[in-house]
Amino acid sequence: MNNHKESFEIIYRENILKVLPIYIEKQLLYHIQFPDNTPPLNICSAANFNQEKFWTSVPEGRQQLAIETGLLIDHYFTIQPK
Amino acid sequence: MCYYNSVKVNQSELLRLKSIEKAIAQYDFFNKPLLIGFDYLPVPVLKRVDKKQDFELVQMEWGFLPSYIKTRDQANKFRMGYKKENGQWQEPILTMNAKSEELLGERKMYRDAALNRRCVVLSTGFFEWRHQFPVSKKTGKPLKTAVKYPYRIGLKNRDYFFMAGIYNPWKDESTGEYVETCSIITTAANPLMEQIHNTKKRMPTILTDDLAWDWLFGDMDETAISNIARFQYPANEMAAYPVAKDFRQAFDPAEAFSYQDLPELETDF
Repeated sequence: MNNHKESFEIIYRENILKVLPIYIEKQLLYHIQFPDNTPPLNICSAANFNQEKFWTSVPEGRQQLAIETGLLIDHYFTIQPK
Repeated sequence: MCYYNSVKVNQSELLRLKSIEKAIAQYDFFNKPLLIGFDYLPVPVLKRVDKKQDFELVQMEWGFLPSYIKTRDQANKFRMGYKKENGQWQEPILTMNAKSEELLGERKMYRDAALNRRCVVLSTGFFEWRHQFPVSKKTGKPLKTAVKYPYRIGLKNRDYFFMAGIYNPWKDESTGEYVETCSIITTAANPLMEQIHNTKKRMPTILTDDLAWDWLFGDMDETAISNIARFQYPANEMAAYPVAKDFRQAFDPAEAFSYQDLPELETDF
């Protein structure tokens, strides 16, 4: 988990999405805003039954979008200078 | 066996995700732009977590309620005014803004909060009215009645920014309802805001990132608190444009609007 607290942008299907890291109940979430009428998405990292990390939407129901945008967030942090 | 979003998770992970879900449901501003309006609405606020150098995003009711207000009925009277038993009208006490110059005065309502419960209100922009006095065609002098034009004000190159605030936890003693209520600090208007809020010449205390950090976590004496509370954000780093007069009802309140008779703002600071 990173300590990044400033908003940043990711490019998803040729659209620029704004990503705002937020802490709720001391948990890190990413609040993602879309340029069109797509409702904002909240995603967070979770662990599956085998303790492997996965991205999930909160609340449930937009899992595919959570996986795809979560991977882009991972990529964003991968390419940030340490 | 538990599943979250069709992924198999253990029970503790499910509980954690459900607790976040429940918390998110309380934050209705997540589905709106972070615009500051005029009513006693919930606003997104950064609040220090205990005594640590960490903060959390919470939702507070905009309009500071002092602890001596005991019920929601009293709170409504406090904010809206009411007719007293002797028939006189008690004026409302407006606490959405707290003047930086009076914040720490002895026996002032905001003093304890300014010393102990400072917060940062998140905003993407705010609205203020500019008063223009048209010139009479008969006399050539300005009319006494102003025409008011609303402006949306924000920061250049910033999607959202920080305003200094103070808060007070408040509980309705008759129902047990608990909310945190807050007030946004105001300071003297800078050269841009002097032209827009040209009747009162005030503006919210907008903070740089460093000052927001100090406001939340700084171990400050009264002078330092007062200095930050009075901070005037540079006019040349702010942007303002007129919006429609019915912007509060508009689908996008921040949409720019052009008025033929409205002189341009002076921006050569």
